[in-house]
Amino acid sequence: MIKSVINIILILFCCTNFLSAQDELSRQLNFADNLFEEGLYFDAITEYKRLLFFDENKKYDFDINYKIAVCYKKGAKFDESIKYFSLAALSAQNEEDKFEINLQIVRLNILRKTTGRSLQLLNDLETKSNYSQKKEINYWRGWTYMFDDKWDSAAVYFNMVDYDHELKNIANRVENDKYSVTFAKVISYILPGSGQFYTGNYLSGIMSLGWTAIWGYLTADAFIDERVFDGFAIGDLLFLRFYRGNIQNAEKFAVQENIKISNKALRYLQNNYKGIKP
Amino acid sequence: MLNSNFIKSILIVFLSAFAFTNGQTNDIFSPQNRLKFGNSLFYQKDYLRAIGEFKSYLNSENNDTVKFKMAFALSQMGRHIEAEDNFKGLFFTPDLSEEAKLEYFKSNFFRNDSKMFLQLINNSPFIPEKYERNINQLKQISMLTEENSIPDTNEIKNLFSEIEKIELMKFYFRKVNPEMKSPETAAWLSAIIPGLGKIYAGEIGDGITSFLFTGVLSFLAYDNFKADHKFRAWLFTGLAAWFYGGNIYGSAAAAQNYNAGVKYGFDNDLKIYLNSKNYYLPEYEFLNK
Repeated sequence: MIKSVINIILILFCCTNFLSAQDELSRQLNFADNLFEEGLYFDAITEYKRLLFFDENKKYDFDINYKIAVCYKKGAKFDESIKYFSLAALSAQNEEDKFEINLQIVRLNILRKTTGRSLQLLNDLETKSNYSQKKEINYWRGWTYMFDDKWDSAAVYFNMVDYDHELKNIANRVENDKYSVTFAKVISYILPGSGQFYTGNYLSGIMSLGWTAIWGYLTADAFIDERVFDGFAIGDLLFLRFYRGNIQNAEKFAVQENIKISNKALRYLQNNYKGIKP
Repeated sequence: MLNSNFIKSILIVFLSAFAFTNGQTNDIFSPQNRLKFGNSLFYQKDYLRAIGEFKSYLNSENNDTVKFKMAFALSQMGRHIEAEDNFKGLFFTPDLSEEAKLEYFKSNFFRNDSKMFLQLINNSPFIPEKYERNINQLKQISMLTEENSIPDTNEIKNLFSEIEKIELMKFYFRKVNPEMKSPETAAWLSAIIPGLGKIYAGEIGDGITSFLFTGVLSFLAYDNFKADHKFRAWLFTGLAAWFYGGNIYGSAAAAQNYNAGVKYGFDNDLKIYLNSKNYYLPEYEFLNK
């Protein structure tokens, strides 16, 4: 009789201990989730980490590492976020979860502009993906190229997702709006200042045209007067200096304007695009 | 009957014990659990969160090691003033007094105000006996970084090992005889021969260009005056004068840039070397427990 009672007590002891620990952990999870919902990401991370620390059975490993990663991402701590997504991937139970986490890591690489790594991860994912996953991979390839300022490549991949994809149209529009750096340089070779005019920098264009015209005239005048040394000196030191400067300026302005166009498009996507963003 | 009462009492005692122990072990916000969690965060170098846990623990318990860890975490986060205040509070503790004093001076050292650090060391009565050598090493190091001080070579020889001594003496000589360029000399050189000041300041390409530019413009001015082309002559005279003056100013600026580069290079090299040596400071095993 006494023996059986002691056995019951021992079982009770084990059960209550286990249940109470589990209860405490699930309460902690709720607490951390509430902080997360309220946008208190720093505190949420602390509480998730506390839960990880006391979760001896590793029951919450996947969920918590995932949520910590999301919190770090919200706080723009991309490196930390990748670390915790990678930890979550280690405890992922199925291939879908692993795929989802890898896409999250790709998205972080897009945000921190580590394009090479992002494309490498997407290539790895593609080898073991199904049709719908391939679409998703191409979608993120498109985003990778947009962040890498290669809008034409982005349009190609969005086209693979959907022929009439909104992002494809945006990428094409940006590519069309951008100035051709080569064209700006070539027309500046032919008519100094025209590259600046092409990119809308009229004052700089007029200045370039004026300077090269003055020094060109003086160079020619010197040669006509048979002052060969004067001609070479003015031509080399002044005329060519402004002529080369005009070509470099045309290139610089075209690049600058293109950056403005890209940034404007990215800002538009950030504020107005309703689909999934990195 | 006796048997049944006995079993009942055992049950009551055990169940009360369960309730008590469960309450104790499963409360993850208990001071002991906060300490465990804080230590784990501290070990992961998540110092800000570790400090939060340590503070909560210290609200109910008194523990000098935890106070030390908290101050150490503040110091690691670059919050040196707060760290100093916290280390000060441990100056008179039985076990960590010497370490706290060392860390106090270390925090002050890392505020990157060598002058203040040297003043503090020279006037403070709290130099830890156990770590006096480390403090003196820091003193010599800060003399290397402080603009108006020169380290004592005898002290360097006494305080550091053979290899360290050689390395530090190299820095000493770089500090005592810095390869600086005089802006005034650079300006005068460029006034005598355009571009020479720039060459003196290490900008050889710029120097040659300046010489050619000013020379050619001056010649063009002279040539045009000779040919009676008044407008062009004055235009080139103006340009030559502009380049000549600009070159003098540019040479002085080039010398200043050169000097700033020398100072930056010295500070940077010294910092990299001292970082690799952990500033000759000890590492505490108890921090990792």
